[in-house]
Amino acid sequence: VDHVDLSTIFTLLLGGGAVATFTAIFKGVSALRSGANAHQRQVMDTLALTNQRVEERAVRAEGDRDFWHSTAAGYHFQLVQAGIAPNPTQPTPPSQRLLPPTLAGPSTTVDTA
Amino acid sequence: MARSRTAIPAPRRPTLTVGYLLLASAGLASALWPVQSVEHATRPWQSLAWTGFFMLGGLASALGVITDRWLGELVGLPMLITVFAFYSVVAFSAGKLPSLAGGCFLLAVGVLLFVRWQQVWEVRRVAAAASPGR
Repeated sequence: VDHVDLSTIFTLLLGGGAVATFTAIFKGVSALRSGANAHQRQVMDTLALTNQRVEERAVRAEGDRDFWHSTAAGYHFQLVQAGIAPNPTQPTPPSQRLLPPTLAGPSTTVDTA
Repeated sequence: MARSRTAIPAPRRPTLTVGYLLLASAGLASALWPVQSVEHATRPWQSLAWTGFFMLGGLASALGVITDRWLGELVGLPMLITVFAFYSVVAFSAGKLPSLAGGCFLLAVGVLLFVRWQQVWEVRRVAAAASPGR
């Protein structure tokens, strides 16, 4: 590699660095002007708080799901006690419905008989 | 607001500050006492630009960490990455086997700084996504 080629490489490197720096300035200032938080720690805190809220929402959803599960089981028991057969007799959860018949559990069809 | 576990822990900020200030000092030293290998391999304006990137990059990044503003590192790190990439090419261009180790080392530092820059870019992205103006 002769001196001319090297000089071109150095110019390209410095030019690329300058473009990257100006792009970073532009992007950074644009974000700040749109109201982005300037402090890194606060950004990370916001992110952690968002994650915490998502987790809390998931826990609440699981609690609700368990509640309705036990409520349905209670109704099922009451129906059987009253001499009525629940329909469908063996409900299939949605996760099992897309599986091939060999892997899937009991039928999903409603027993109309 | 709850303190995040993902935020840079307190002890790391002084370490980053010292690191960036040392880089800025290296830039200042290279301005006062030019680096022979860089001077020989490059044109005067290239050497000058390299020194400027060195000082400004280190200073901007250090100020960013000291004031806890991501903009400092976002702007300063591309300059520092350029400095190390430039310096590594200088080392590789010496055409001597002993300078191969130096070239690889300098390029590795540049790559590590790029990883840090990616983290800061992610902070900017999250801050922009959560901004009220969006």
